[in-house]
Amino acid sequence: MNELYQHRLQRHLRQMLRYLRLVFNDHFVIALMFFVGGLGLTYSNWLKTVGPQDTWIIAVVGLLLWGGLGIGRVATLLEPADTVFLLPRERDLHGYLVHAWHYSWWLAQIVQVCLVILTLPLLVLVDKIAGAALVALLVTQLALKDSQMTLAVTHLYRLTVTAKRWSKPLNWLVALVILALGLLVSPWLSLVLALALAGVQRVWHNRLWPHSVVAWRDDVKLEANRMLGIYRFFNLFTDVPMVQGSVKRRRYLDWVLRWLPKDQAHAFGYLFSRGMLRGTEFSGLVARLTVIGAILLYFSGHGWLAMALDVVFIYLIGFQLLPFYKRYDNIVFTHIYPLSAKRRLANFQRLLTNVLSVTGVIFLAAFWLSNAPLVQVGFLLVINAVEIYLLVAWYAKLRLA
Amino acid sequence: MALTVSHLVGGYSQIPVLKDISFEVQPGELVGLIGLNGAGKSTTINHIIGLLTPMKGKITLNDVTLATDPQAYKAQIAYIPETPILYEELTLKEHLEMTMLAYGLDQTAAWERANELLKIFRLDNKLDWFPANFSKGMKQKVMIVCAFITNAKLFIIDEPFLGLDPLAVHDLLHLIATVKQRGAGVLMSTHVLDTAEKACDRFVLLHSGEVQTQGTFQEIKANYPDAGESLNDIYLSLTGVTRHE
Repeated sequence: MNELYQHRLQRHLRQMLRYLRLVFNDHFVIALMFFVGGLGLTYSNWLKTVGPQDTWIIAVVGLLLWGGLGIGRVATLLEPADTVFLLPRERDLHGYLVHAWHYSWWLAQIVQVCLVILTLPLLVLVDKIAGAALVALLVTQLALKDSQMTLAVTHLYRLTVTAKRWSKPLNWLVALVILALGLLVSPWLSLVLALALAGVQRVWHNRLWPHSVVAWRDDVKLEANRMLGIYRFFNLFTDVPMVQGSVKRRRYLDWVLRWLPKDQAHAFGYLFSRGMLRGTEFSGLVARLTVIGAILLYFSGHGWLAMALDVVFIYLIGFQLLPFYKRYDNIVFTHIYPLSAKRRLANFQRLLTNVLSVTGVIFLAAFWLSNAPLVQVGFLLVINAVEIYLLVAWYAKLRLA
Repeated sequence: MALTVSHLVGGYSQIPVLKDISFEVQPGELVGLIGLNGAGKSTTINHIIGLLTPMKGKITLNDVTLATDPQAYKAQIAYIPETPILYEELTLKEHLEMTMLAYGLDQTAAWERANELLKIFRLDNKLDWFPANFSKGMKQKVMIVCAFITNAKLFIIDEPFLGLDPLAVHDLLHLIATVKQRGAGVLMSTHVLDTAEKACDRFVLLHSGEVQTQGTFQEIKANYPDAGESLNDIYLSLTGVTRHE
């Protein structure tokens, strides 16, 4: 069991590393450095204006520390198949979970330390806490997180309905009271109370688990949700296979579909248009790039830079939409419908034209709103029309036919 | 003559799975394609619906081949796959509409038939749902409805009986009888031999990519008098699989 967790953790970390490498590519790191730098500068400038008179800040810091306790969950790395294959070794699972607990504990506490360090200047400036008292407050925060982690592990076992429902809210409430006492009365008092709370949670856990059954189903679901959250985050930057292809009904878009022709010549168009509007993958791509492009266009002012941006973004969207043509290739009916490949391509080109035209119009509007002279707007209109024509009639055909 | 498969050699790679297969499906006839797992049933079907190209031999459907006129060939076929396959982004209603558009059906007449079928299979209150989220049996019913609203001359049904409830099996057999009456041929692969024995007009028994024997149940029984009484017995003895009893 010990080896099993180590083995899974290694696999998990390797996977996370792979995604992180994709997320933190060169351009993103540069952008992030500017972003963090800017944020830091703003924060430090703001700190200069803060003094002991701003007592409301104590409440904000308190809430920040309290809410920050929610960061960091137990990474059990359990898989659905475990409910079958590990079931016979349920007793030994505690050893496995302890490993998960330790790994998650360190990860969560590092985040907590960062959080306290970030709020440190405020505490010094406003609350006049200093020296050893600051350490006491830091340890308070860590002990509170420890109590939460212990409780989270306890919750991996099947509890009574009352314990299951109330233990977590109760722990949150006690943590809030302790933090308030620490900030308003004395960090030393909160230190003692927080350590006591952590101790109570540990005692409860050790008493409880030997007589409890593992809540297999809940644990597996919890872990799946945790991973999905991580994948969703990565999916903002890169394609994650585990998150792809969810479908939303989006009834409010049905009016768009009513405009489109419904006959044998446009049968694939019928499919493509619905797939485009309801699948989150490609519609999300178009929406994201259109919004980002429009914002950039608006702020880059009128002129050559804006026009170049417009051309690049329309190309990017058109280019990334091409794989959508093959989206239904693994569905047998796509091949056995009595429809020619030529019609299918023509239908796809029509879809591409429609999508890119909408984007083009939005870009034109952004360009116009940035006070561009009408001549330039007209010029950009011509550029867009030519680009879309080339993309659809020539490039798409070249790549797909 | 509806479907003619003559001397078909084919498969997925260089090595042929099907070795010289010949059979016919006449208009108004239900032919059962019988065989063990891996005997070549699905491969045969994939060749007929045009997913695979024959290495040798010819498949003709009312004098049209896939090579000469793919559209006319495909327009004559309705296919019900073994595992239901659906478009994730289309509702049940849109699946039907898509089928109507693809086959160029008259909307009014097709909807009349569709509503009838939806009622039979108790799907008429689920028109606005995504069938991709249905249970397996219900998805299969969607496939059946989509296939039977067409005016196909040949229905190809891959293992329809597993996953359907007894009522649906009954209704499906009834539907097959109806299209037979209007002159359509049906080719059906299945493992459920008792049902096949009762329902099919003729049988094609495949074994290791070859046609072991074909004909009506009576013909097959007459040819192999010692093989047993039921299709089940005959089939098992013909395949030469020794059973441990």
